[in-house]
Amino acid sequence: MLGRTGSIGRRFLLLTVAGYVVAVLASVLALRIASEGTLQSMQDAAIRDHAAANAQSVQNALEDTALQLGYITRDADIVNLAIGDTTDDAAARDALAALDVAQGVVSLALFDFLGDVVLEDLREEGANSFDAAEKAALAQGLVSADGASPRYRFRPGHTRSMGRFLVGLPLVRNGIVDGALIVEMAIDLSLVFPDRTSIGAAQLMTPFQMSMADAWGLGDGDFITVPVGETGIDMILIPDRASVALIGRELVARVTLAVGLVLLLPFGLMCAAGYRAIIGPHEALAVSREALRQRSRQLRELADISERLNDVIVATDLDGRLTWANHALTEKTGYRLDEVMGRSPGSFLQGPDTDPEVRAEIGRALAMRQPIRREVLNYTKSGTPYWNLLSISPQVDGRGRPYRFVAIATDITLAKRAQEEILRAKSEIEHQAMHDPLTGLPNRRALDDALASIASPSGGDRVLIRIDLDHFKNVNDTLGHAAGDFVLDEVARILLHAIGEGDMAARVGGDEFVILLAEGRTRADGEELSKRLLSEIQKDMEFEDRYCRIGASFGIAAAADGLVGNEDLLSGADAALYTAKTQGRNAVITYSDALHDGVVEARVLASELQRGLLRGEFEPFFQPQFDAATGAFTGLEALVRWRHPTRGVLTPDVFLTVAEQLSVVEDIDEQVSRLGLAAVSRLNASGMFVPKVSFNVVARRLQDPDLPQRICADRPEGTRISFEVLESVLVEEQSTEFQFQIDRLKDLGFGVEVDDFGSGHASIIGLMQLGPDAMKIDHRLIVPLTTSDVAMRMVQAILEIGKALGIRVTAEGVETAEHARILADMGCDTLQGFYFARPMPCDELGAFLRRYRPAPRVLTAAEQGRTARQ
Amino acid sequence: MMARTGVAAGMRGLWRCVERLPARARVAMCRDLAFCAARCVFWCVAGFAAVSLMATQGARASDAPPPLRIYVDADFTLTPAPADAITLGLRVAFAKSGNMAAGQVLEVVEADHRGSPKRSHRSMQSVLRDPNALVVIGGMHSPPYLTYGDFINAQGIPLVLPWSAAGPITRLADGPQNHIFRLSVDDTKAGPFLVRSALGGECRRIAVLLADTGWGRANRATIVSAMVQAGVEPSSVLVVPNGVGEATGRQLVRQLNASRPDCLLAALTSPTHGPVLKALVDIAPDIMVFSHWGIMGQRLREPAMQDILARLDIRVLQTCELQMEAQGKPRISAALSEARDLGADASSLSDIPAVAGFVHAYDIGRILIAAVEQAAATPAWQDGSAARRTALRDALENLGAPVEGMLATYAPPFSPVGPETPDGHEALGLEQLCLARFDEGRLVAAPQAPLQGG
Repeated sequence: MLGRTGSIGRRFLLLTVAGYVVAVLASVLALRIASEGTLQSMQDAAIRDHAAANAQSVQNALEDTALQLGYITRDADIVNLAIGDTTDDAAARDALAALDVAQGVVSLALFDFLGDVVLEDLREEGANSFDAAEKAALAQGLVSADGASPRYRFRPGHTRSMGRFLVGLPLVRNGIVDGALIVEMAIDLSLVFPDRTSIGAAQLMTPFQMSMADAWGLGDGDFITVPVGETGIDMILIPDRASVALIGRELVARVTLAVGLVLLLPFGLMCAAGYRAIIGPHEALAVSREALRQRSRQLRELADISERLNDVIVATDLDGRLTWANHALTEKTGYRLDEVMGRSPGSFLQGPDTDPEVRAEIGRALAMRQPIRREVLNYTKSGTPYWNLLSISPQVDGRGRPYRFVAIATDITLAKRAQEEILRAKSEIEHQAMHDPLTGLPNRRALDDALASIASPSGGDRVLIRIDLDHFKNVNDTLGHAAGDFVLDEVARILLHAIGEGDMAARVGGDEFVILLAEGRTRADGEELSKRLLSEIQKDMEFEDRYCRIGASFGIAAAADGLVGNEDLLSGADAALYTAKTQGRNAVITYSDALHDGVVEARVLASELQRGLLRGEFEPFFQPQFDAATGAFTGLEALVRWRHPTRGVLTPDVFLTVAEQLSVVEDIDEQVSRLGLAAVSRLNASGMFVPKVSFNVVARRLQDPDLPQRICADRPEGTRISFEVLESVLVEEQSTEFQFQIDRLKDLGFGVEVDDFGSGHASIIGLMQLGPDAMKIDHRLIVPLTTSDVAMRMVQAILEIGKALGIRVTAEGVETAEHARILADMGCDTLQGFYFARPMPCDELGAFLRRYRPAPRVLTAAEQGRTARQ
Repeated sequence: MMARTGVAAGMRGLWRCVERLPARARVAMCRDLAFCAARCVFWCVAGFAAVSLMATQGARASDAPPPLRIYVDADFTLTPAPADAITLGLRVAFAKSGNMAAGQVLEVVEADHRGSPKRSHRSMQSVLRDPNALVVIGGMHSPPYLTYGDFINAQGIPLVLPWSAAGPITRLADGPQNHIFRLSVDDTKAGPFLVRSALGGECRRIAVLLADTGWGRANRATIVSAMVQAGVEPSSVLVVPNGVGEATGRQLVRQLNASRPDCLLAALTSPTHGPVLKALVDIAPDIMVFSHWGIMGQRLREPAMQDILARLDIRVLQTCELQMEAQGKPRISAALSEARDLGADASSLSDIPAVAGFVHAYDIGRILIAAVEQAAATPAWQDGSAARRTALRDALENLGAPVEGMLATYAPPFSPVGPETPDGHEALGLEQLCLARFDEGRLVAAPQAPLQGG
């Protein structure tokens, strides 16, 4: 069809072009017939113009030559010679010889006012030259006329293109013609005539030639004559009629072009209008039919595709009544089309659990003729629910007005189920991530989130309670982990039962719990709750017919105490808990300003401690030990001292707690032992042999497999090295690995001593298993020795145990001679205390040992020590 | 008969008309008719007398000797003032003798050579062809006679120069071959005179300015030679080219002024002096100028030139007629009276442009008359024109009686020229040279500086 349309357009265009060509040709033909006479006139005018132009060129050339020669006629030497001021022509001849302005000068002749030659300069011999008489005649004419205008004569040259000219210039002096300069020139006329061939041949004529032109039949009588200005020379032009005819043809060509251009506009307009009125609508109709055909094909394809689709496609009128549906509707819902045709799809597809809000949204969209896309629960004919992703779009006609709705329903039931499963799993994971699996309480992460969610610049009314179960380890150790888990679960139950609405109880560690009170609760509420919880927790718990009892320590911190940040709040509660622990457990401690100061001091101390560790400010002080019976120096205990840059020498009670919190005790021990060994080596080297030196170590350090290697590197020759461990290890460290490490140390020649025996559990079993070299009686049992029989008996008992187990006993805290005497009498092996010597740095120790002289009796030895100090 | 009848009828008709007029009108008409008749009679008598007189004169002319034609070969076109002054001087001198000499009418013929030697030469050829031509009086230009002096001597044309000053002209030939005489300034004396005048005016540094012509170059030799003889070196010697304009004039004067002269000796010609004098006024007005009389010409009468001359301290070489007029010489006043009779507006010599030409021509005229009278008494006078001209030449060289002129009494004016007498054809000497100055465009006698040396 389009091809036909194009053909019509081409035919229309061809017809228009043909009409245009015919119109142009007819116009030109008419013009040619009508302008025959005018054309002839124009050709004649062209010939005349050409002749006049040639004549003008010759005139210009001659006048230019005259102008160039004119100045020589005013030369003083020329004039003087001409008028007779001088008869010597040398200067004038030089002036003429210097004349080089006019090309083609053949000769120059200077005439006086009588017409006599006074000077002649013949430059070039040649045929057809003017003779002297002709020159003289011209000069005579000039001087007799007494005028200032130049005169000219012409003669044909030896070739057709050359012309000979006489140019006569008057010598005018003060307005009087006193002579004449006659210049003969040979000029190539082919260079002068602008064009010799286009119109016709121009040539200059002598008067004789002019008179004979007719007789000679010049140009068959077809020529025109033009005077060359005022020169008196005539020029004829014999026209080239063939070339002149070209003028006519050129005119016709120009007219044709002009007519063609003029007719182009109306024909162009006609062509444009024809296209617009005839071809345009025709082409538009063809395009419309083609579009309709393609649309129809697309619709068939779409209908075919829609029948094959699994998605349900329905069409309704604007009232929502079903007008068309694909086969998938029957397959998906079980309804036959004839059953539901004319009904609203919502009326038979939606059921009781269909979201009313979604139904309302769909209704509003249909009423507003707007598209909508929603997930909707539908029902089959048998009542089986399934999920559809329903997309409804209004269809508009050619004028943009909606005339029906088309809905596409995609079954997303499986996707929906999968989505619900994912959500459920995700919820479970999130719950597990945020809760303690044992107790079901929120874990530390949940607590952090809760704290972060309520964090505010002002801090709010937040109250935090930290709970740490006392002796929970014992439950695990004694009753097993199941019992421990039971206890933890029971504590969680107690917490959940006790806390109020909005409070949050979380398990943040093995036996650590935190309660975050709801907003609005106060510190007093926290204290009341803590006490109530302590009471409940301290009650007996029955597990598998056995009862266990635990305690708990409570640390309470409130944002109202200036603990702005959550970290501060947690730290405050931690500090309070720690205080509770240190105050004997089973206590409720509330964070206070004093506690705050302690915390601040502890922080400062912690900072300084770390810096001191780096600077090596921890050093050993040595307290000597003596044989109780002989008074002999038996060894040293290396005690750590911190040589603080501003606070002086600090004892461990000041910084040990902080060091433990910072977990740097081992580092301090390491530093002290290294320095101590070096000091002992120096003492040995200086002749003051140290039989033994003992270092206090924590149990963890003893388990360090590299400890022996490091100690051995600095080990003093001949001095036995012992490690003092706290009595608590006898109870707390009963693992096989620990025991293996102790045995290994013993095998390597290191001694092991139990420090502060009697201050803790005093496990005899543990003592037996450990098998130490010595055990040191805590000074709190030694000091009251002189006043308390109980103390004396306890010391006696310990000494007996030592004897029974074969363990040497060292008494610490021997402050008086009485202490020394009693202990010696009781059979104590070794004495150590202020009575003998305070802990001292290495250099003082050296002096002390140099002065010390062992004595048989301890008293004497003590006295010697005092004397030495004095 | 018929005519008489017609006249009678007319008279009767006229009388009838008169009769009808009033009485007073008839009286007036009669009076007018009487006057008319008297006029007719007067004119008839006068006409008759004139015809009778002419017839008488014609009869005399045919009997009288032919006139003696004195040609004035001068430039009457471009510089007419000297030519006219010369012609006037001749006519006054001739008029004093009734325009007659030796019984022959003296006829002055003006031959205009327009400043061209060739035209002068043609005039000489015309003189040769004229059987009545006796002598030629030159104009102010020297070149025609420098160029064709030999021709003139060869052809035996007596030539007397009242103005041309070029020294060689009168010395082209010796003895009887020399036909050229001068009653004017001789440049061989003008140069020394100007030098002496300048030195007498207490000039210390003297510059020389000369026209670029043969005349100018000739003056250079005499002036510089005179200065050398006086022991003075010119501060600068410059040549003014022909056709000089104001720009070139200023450049020349600047160049001249660079030598810091206090005096200037100038030998300029009339066409070239204007731009130079104007530049002198603008650039060096304090320089004292001693000028040859070449600057004299009609342009001096133009207002612009008069203004320039008034602002310059300039003295011009002249002969001493102005001084003599000032001394009240009666022959000068008599000559002026004759000039006035001939229509010249000249109450004093200063009223005559180019007064030197007038005075010199007058004296030449007087000498010519004396020479003609003397020559006419010789037999050769009757032997044709050539012999007559030779006789005149000889008479000029050998005048027997003193001739009284305005400038001097010449006793005699000329003598033969020979190697020992180069000034034989010079009528004037240094004693006739004076200086003049300009006063409102008129030449007046200038104070005469004492001449130093010879």
